Amino acid sequence: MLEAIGVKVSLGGESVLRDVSLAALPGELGVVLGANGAGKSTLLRALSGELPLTAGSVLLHDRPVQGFKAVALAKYRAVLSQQFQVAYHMSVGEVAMLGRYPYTEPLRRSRELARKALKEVGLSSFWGRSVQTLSGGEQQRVHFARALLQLQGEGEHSRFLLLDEPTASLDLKWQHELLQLARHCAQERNIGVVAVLHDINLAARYADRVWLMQNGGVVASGPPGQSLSAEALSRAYRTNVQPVTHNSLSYLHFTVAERTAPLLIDQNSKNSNYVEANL
Amino acid sequence: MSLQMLSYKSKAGKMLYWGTAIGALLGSLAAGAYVISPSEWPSALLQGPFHMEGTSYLVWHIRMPRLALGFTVGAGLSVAGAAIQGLFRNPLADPGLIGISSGAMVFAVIGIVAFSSLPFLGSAQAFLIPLLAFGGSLLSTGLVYRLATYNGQTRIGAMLLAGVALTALGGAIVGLFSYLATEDELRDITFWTLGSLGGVGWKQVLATLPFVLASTAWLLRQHQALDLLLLGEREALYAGLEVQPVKWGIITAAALGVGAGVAACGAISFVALVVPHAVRTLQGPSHRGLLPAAALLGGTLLVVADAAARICIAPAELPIGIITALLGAPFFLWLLLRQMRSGALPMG
Amino acid sequence: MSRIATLSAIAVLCWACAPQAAQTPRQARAPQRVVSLSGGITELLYTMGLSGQLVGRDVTSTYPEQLAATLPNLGHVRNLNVEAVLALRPDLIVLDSAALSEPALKQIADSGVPMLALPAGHELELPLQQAEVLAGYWGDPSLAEPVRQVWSKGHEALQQAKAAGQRPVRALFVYARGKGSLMVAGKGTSADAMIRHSGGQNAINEFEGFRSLSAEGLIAAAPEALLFFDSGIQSLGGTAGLAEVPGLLQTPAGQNGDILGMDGLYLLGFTPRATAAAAELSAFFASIAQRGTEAYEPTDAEL
Repeated sequence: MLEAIGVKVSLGGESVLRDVSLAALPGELGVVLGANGAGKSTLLRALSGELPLTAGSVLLHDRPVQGFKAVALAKYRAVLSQQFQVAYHMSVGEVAMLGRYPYTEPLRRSRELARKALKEVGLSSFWGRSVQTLSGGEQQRVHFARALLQLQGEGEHSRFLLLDEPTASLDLKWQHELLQLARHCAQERNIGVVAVLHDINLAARYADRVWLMQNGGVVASGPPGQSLSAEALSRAYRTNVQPVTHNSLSYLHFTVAERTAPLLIDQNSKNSNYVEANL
Repeated sequence: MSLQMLSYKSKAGKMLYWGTAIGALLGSLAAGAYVISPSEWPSALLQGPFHMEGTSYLVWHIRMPRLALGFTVGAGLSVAGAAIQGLFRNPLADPGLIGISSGAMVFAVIGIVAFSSLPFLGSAQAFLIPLLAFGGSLLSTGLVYRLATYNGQTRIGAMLLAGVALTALGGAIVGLFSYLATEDELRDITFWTLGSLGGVGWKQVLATLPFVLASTAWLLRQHQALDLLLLGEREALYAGLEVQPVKWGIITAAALGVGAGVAACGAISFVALVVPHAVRTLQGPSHRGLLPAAALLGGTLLVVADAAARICIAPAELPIGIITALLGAPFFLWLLLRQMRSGALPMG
Repeated sequence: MSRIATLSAIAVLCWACAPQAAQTPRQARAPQRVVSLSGGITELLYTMGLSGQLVGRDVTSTYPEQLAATLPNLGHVRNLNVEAVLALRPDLIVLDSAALSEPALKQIADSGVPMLALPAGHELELPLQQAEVLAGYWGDPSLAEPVRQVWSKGHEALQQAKAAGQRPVRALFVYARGKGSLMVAGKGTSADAMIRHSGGQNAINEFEGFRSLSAEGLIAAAPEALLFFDSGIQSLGGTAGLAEVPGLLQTPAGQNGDILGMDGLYLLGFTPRATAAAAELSAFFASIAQRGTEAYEPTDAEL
């Protein structure tokens, strides 16, 4: 299990996470939602073990994540960051094989595993291509394969995959394919996936569990059906969110109200809730 | 010839690189202003290094140390260049261009002028100069790295500007010392700015080889780390690399390779820029093949360039830096053009 | 004095030959293939009638021209191609002792080629000392005789010219290699010595060695005579180019046109012709001294 207990983080003197507690479970796709600046990415970085905590702890298999050596940690937790460029013309195969860094094994074995992983993300014919020449979606999938390879090892402890806005630069089709893939991996490999998403509806559709963040804290959590309500979302995103109902939809769906009244937002107070003028 | 053949990762490629290097060494051993007839060769070689006379002396004590030092320095510079370019994630991070050679040069020159007043150091001086040069290159590499990276990403402008500043500072300090020093203390400012392998003996080889070997051997083992760093520092950390110690290890080892090379034969330009770039173009940026191939190709290039320096205006001799720049600069331009045409110039 | 010179030369010789003395049988001292690594030495060997044995020269060996044209040029003594020197298969290399610290020359010496390092210095008698050492090496003291003759002839002329000089003229030697590179000779330089040997006085007293020339420094030094190498004047674009050197026209020498260009080896090479060169220089100084009866004092405006 990967859990945060009373985590506080300050960046540049500003407190970004205020007392966050949550637990990611293997086999589940958990999604972190929230407005810009709510602390989603910081939460992910805190879970990854990269950031020093001001208070609280992040535990992986009941041990503080900061106490792990980088190699040991890498075998149990992989991170897929927001878009970044690979320097030079690394080939798809080479980048995927970097996922095997924590493991000592013959090169042939790494290559075999990498081929399988690339097949899984639908890039089996891309082995020798330069990553730089691929589309954003294809690059994302190469790194997804690399992350999966990183988590593929012996040992019974559960693994966790952290995705930071993985759909940000993807078109509609890849957004859905990536989340399906993430959920598939969670279920098939018993990996705990934590993804930061901007799209409420993607979360509502694919997440097993949702953490809704506001001002550095988790304000609602649980399965989408329980944690996502128009009220909670309206407060978290400071806009008028309404549910959409339609016969063809088997999952929750939200949108911003068509005639949203102008909002009065108290810019000075972070903790203030929005006030709707016409309510 | 398929491209696979040019990759150090294939058997054929490995043989090609080794073959070229050995061929260049043998060819340079045979070539020179002093023509050795085929009938003289067996005795010259068989008489061995302790026969201090005639052709045998020329082969064992003039040509061979020169070849050895040329190959050592070329290999050291190229591997260090490849490593620094990996760390900075940019092909323009040449030790000469970003001021590392200047730092080494300044410290070496200060050392030479300072030690001339300490005669009791004797032959220890031969080892102290490379150490000082290493200190200078370490300091400048660390400085440029601090200035040029922010949040694990390289700021190319800052990197090149830091190089410009360090090079200017180095030029000024070397100029000042050559102004103050007598000619006996300082051989010539062109020696430092253009480099030379003239008058090299086994002593210089012994004073350089351990440093370059240590640097190259350590860097060759860091190929996976360097590959990971191509993803950026944060990704490398996520993927299991202890980024901080490895990063400073790479900086130290690269500075050692550059410093030892500069101390031995001045700032030889373009080798560390062109060789890794050429190998990357031939076989891709993965450091597992890049580093050994760069070592072999760099050694080969410098040995061939030195042979040209000895032969082309004989009986006089050219500074080797002129040859490497003449060979290297157009080749580099050609590479740049080719990459720009294919629309894939990797700039970081 | 000549005994001291001989002794010092033998000492240098012993040092140079020491490594191989144990291995090579003592050879008869009539070198057949000689490499000279100094312009002064090449001229010396020529004057001694030994130029037939020369097989190579350095870049400063420019006199006599016909000889220089036929010998391979090995470049500068500080940037030698070791193999090219050895390829000439010399049985003697003659050079200035000042150049001995070059690693390339150590290698050549170690390879077993006998090296003869001649004493260096800035005395007019230097070529005589050097000739004695060479003659001693060849085992024929009479070889030095032609050098003495050339030298004495020049020396007489020098004495006459110096006698004509009424006072020491303030002279400055400028080493020019193009407009951007002008150096003046301070104390302890060969130019300083030649100016003194010729009865003049170096206009620069403040520093030793060569330094970059500034326009203000030039005016402050107020030289009555300016000396150049011919090649230096050429590098500035001839006599017309001299006028463009900042400050030059503001010196007494510039105003009176007392600027002399001489061949570099002749003027500062301390060759057998050194006395003749000094005589020429001395006559130049005498003509300046005679023209103005009083010593020149710079005005405030010029300072």
